[in-house]
Parts: sequence; structure tokens; C-alpha cells
Amino acid sequence: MAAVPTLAIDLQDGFENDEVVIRVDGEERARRTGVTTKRLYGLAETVEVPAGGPVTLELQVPTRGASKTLPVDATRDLWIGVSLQGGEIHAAVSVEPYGYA
Amino acid sequence: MPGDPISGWYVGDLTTPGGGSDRLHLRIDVDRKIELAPVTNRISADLFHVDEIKLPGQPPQQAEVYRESWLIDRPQVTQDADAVRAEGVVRFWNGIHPSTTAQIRIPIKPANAPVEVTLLHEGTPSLHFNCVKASKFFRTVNLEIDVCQSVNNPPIFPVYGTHASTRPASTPKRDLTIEAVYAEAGIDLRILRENLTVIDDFTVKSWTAAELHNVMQKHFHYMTSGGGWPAWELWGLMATQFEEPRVGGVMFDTSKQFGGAGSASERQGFAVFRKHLWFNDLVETPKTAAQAEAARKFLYTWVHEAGHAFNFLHSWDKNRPSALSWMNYDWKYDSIHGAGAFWQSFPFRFDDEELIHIRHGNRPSVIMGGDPWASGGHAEAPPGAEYLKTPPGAMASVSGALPVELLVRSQEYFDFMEPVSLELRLRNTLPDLPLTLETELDPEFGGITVYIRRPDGRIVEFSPVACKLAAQKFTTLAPARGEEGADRYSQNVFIGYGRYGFYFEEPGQYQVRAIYHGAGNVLVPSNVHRLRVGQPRDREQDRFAQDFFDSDIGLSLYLKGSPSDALRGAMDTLQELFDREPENSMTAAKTAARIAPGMARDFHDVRENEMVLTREADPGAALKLTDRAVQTLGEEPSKAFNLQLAKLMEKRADMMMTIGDPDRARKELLDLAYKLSERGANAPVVEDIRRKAETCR
Repeated sequence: MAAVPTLAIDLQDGFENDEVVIRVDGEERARRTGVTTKRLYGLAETVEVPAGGPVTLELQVPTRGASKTLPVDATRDLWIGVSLQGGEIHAAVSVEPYGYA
Repeated sequence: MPGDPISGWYVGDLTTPGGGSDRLHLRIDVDRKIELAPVTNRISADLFHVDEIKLPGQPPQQAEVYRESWLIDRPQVTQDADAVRAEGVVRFWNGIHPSTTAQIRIPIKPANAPVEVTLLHEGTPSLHFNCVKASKFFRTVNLEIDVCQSVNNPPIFPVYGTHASTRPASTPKRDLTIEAVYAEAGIDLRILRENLTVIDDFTVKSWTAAELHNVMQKHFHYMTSGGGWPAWELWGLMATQFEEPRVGGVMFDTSKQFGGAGSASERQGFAVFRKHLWFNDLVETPKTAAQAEAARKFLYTWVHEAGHAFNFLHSWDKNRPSALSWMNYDWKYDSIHGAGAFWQSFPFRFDDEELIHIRHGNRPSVIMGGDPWASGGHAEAPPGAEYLKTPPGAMASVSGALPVELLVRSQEYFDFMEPVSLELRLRNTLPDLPLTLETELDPEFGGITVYIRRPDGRIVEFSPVACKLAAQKFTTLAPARGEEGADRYSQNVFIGYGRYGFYFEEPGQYQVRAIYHGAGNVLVPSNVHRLRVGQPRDREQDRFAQDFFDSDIGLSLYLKGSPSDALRGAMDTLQELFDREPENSMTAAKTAARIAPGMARDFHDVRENEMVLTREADPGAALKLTDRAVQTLGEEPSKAFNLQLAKLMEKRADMMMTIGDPDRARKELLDLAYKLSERGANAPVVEDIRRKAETCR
């Protein structure tokens, strides 16, 4: 049986003691508190969520009153880079893992 | 400019007014002396005081004690038959100075004639220096590279041919190494290949920042030979993998809040992780496109991490997300400009602002072990704070090769209202000679001055409430190569309250620097220590703060608790604090530890012109008050609490002896020895406490 593709959601820049909620097709899959970007390499943490096929990914940062919804075609492993800029959530999808230094 | 380029590094002493012992390190950067190195059109300098150090049995040595730095933006440069002349307005990085202009004459004939530098201060006599050329580079840094056994396979030192993969069409063909990249940045970076150590790492699957810092302390030759900080010395390790496996390299030596090891001083070392997926295709002689890209990424990672050690932030953290720089991420740049855009455009260099910082930035903010990483985003002072009054001497921040090192450290984070104490540590840096020093490190005794940069950027000098005159306390520190820990002396010093009130009453980031004067014959500046004071826990605590930040409370803390009638209200408020704070509150623990000594001693007051005993010592009550503090401090795993825990438990053991309970005192000390040993204290310290425990009878 083929493995279910994974969405690796990298919480990148702009987080400071924030709460992050991740929903896939409306269902809450992860909730993290105290999310803070490690400025040395621009990553707070990675949240891995299994998701097969086209899904709607919802990212919410209640501590900033920000949310973003994006369609994702999760037919293979994907990496989602999420950052906070000016109180807004920015997200980018990559077919390769992000690297940090 | 016709003729030979004049750019480079010049060094010379003050000539007039005479009798001084000042030295100038001057950097002229107005034409291209180094191939492919961009010109920043700047002149900068560091000013040093030269101390002569006499050690028994040795010829006198000179040590340069750093004073301050300055910069000229876009100087006016002219040339005649005899000389090149440069002139401009001097901008000092810190403090207030009279309006200053520099006139620099670089003779063309005769060859090698000294460069004449004149600083014209408005209202004060001008200063003249004669400088000779020291290098075509602007700064020199030594880099030691060590490698873990499990990844000890070539290539270890990166090399990348600039035409091996995607590049801008105009890219000159050359083989880039770490040294070559930094040479083009104007830095003479020397890899100390003879110091390469292979480190056994077979028990380590992935590294944390703290583990990397620990291994640096054990293997970095400059550190193990007792070298003082700050210094133009840097350590790089090739290791397997970081705890976060998608991190290809990390400059681990900074605050925990940024993801670092959290140990002062900062920016001394970095690591590159060979098992990162970036380097899967890395080989000595790349032949395929994937191998060339791996070689490029390998070089990038080494250069990037070393760049952090020079106090570079990432490009996007400096509001330059489109910078074509070693400090940007390719995928971040591509997210703005399109896939592959970074490597198609990147000219293999730092951006202009970074070049100005690395060549001409304020010395403490560039040199390794100087200012903390990210302090000021290499703007050197918080925005708007550049012109605030700075106490004289506050910026005499870093030194040359002095025989003594002063380190300031503490926990990184303090709760709101938590009493602030720091560890001040003196260390003998002489490898083979013991050193006898004045070791009373409380500012009350005048041997130490402490400067505090507050969250608003204002720098204030800590003024103790009392100034004490006492017989000097001398301690002989063993040579640096001797028994572990015997080369240093530490003291915990309370600086939360002084003559002008509370110093840490506002949430935010503070920086602390101390200057050691000793018996008056030396001047040793410390590192810059950063700490953060947290926000009030809730509205109730915020309201209570109004009662807490009161001069009587401050005085009670300063005096280590006082049964004086005048401070009775303050002591009641502190009691209220204990009632309000949660069980494991560090604020309550530190406050209890602070005021307990006052309860454990007799108190006399004046009654009808006569000193009478108004309150008898109550060590039992002091012990009860500090039970919880021992538990709270003891549960903190960080070494930063060791000194405070030791001080408290030793004091409690004394109180137990006073109430005639030697068994309990012995147990308290043995418990302390165990706790310190578990938390990595030096063996001689633990042994001393065990010995003291055995004397409790």
C-alpha cells in the first residue's frame, strides 16, 4: 500500500510566542502554542500532516488574528513554507524540502 | 585614481600631543587594492590605549585596550604630485563627541613614508598620528576548522569553480574557497590547517547548539590555550547533522532565544552539517551538475555561517530580501524573483552594506566574542539612540591580549520583578604564570564599574547605594593551563537597585558591560552580556508592580532585608509578594534568597541616643523563608543558576550551624555538592563544598 503523502509545514519567519492552528479540509490537525522563530536559521518548527489528494489547507494564527486558506494538491510529499509578515500569513508550496542555514 | 592603490590597513601611534600612548588602526577603502574586491568609499579607524604589562621574568609586553571606533562616509579624495589626501567628517559609533574632521595625507614619495592622520576636534587640540601600512586587507581573522570522525572524508575545505554551474554571464572564472571569498570582502581570513582536530563523535547522532558549544570549548585551540575574548579568532566544525535535520549549518554561539547555545561570549563558533541533504552529491572533483551544485552549496554554507560570526543577520532580517548576498537564502530570493533567479544573478559576494559592516563596522559589533549576535542588526545602537548621552568609559568595551579576562553572565531571561544579579568572573589568561588580583567584585568597593544599556537605548552607569572602603581582597589565580577552574574567580553581584532606583523595572532587552579596575592599575573591559526582562504575568502583577517598584522595596532588597522601622512597610509588601507569587516563582525565590540574611542577624537601632538590640536574629525564620527558594533554584537545570544556588545553600548551612544543627548543615552542603556536580560545575568547586560539609560538627 502506498504511503499517504505528507504536508511538512515549516513555520518560518515572524513568529514570536504565537499560537498556530492547522486545519485540513476543515478538520483541525495540529495546534501549537509558543511558536517562536529561531532567528539564527529562520525556522520555528515543522508540523507534519498526512494529506492525500487535493485538500484545502487552513492556517490560523489566533494570536495575530490572521488566517489563510490555500488549495494544495497533496498527491505527493510537499513542503509548505509559512511566514508572518506585517500581520499577514504568507505561504509558499515547494516540491523540495526547504533548507536552512 | 592614478598610481598604486592606497587602500588597506594602517597602524600608527599618536605623535602630538606628545606623551600619550594611543594607537590608531586606520582602514582606507577608496580604491581597489584587492582583485575583485568592491570599493566601499569609506575610511574607518579603531582607537586603542597601549598598556605596558610587566610580568616577572619576562620582557615587558604591550596590550592594546580598545577605546572606540569611527567612520568617514564618502571622504573627499584628491591627489597632487606628492600625496593623496582624504578628508571627511568623522562619525563616532557611540557617545557624544565634539564635531570632528579627519585629514589624511598618504605620501606617494618617498615610498613607504608614513601616512599622516590629523583629527581636528572643535574646541579641543587636534591629534596627530603617523601610520604605516600593515596589510592590503582591512581586518585579519584566524579560523580553526575541526572535523567529526564520522564525516572525516574529503572534501573538508570547500572549493567551487565559479563556471561550474549557473551564474551571471559576467562572472569572472576562478576557484572560490572560504579564504578567497573573504579576501574579496577585504578580510584576511586564515585557516589554521595545522590545528585541525578530528573529534570522536560516534555516540552522537545529531547535535544541539549546547553540545556544539561544549565541544568548541574542549577543542578550539585558542580557547583551550586560555586566549581572552573578544578576539579575531573563529572556530568551525564539520559535524554530522543538527537536531533540526534541515539545517545545513548553524552559528550556534548566541542567545537561546535565537536558537543558539545561550552562553556568553557569543559569535565564536559555527558548524556545517555534512549529512544534510544539500551535500548528498558532494565529491572532491565535481563532474555532474548535481555535484557542482553540492560543491557550491558547501562553500555557501561555510561562508554564510562564518558571516553570522561577523554579526551578519540574514538579508531579509535587514529588510533586504532581494539582496544578492551570501547571507540570503536562494529559495527566499527565488520566491520573489522566480525559480533559479538567485544563482543566475548572484555575483558571489556580500552586499554593499555588509561589506561596510565587515570592513568598517564598530569593532565590538564585528569582532568574535564582542557584542552579542544581532545586537542592533549591525546598526550598532538601537534606532534613535546614537546620540544619547553615554557615560565616559562605557564603550571602552573590548581589549587586546590582556592577562586577565572579565566575563559577565547570568540567566538570559528574568521574570518581571525578579531581582537581577549577575556573575562577574575574572580569569587568568596567562598559560604558565599565576596571577594575584584584587577580587572584590561588588561595585560598592570601587573595583568594578557596571554599565547598563536599557531597552530604550539609554546607557546608564550602575551606582551602588553605598560606597565601601575596605582592606583589599587579593586572590591568586592559577595559570590557565593548570587545574580546571583554579584559574578563575566568580562573584554574584546584585545590580537590580542602586542610588538612582531600579535598573531593570521595564520589560525588554538589556545589555550589560563591566569594567574591572582592580587595585587601580589595570583596565579590563568585559564582554557585553544580554538579558531580557519579561512582561507582567497578568494584570494583577502589573498592578502590584506599582507598589513593588518603590524606593523602600529597592532599599530592602539592596540591604538584604531590613527590620528597620523605616522599611517595615516595604517588608510587608515583600511578604505580600510571596503570598501572590505561584509556588515555583523565580521572583519569589530570588527575593527570599535576597532578604533572608537580614532575618538571620541581630538588628540594632537608636533608642533615646543609645544603640539597642531591637530584633534578635531569627535564622529559623530565614531558613523557612528560603526552603522554597532552594527548591525553585535547584530545579533549574541551567548552569547559570549555580552560583546563586551555591551562595544561598552555603548561607543556609551557616544558619543551621548557628541554630546548633550541624547534621542538617552537612546534609545541606552535600546536597549542594551533588546538585552542582550534576549541573557541570568544576570539580574543585564541588570538592571545596564537600570538604566544608565534613567540617560541620
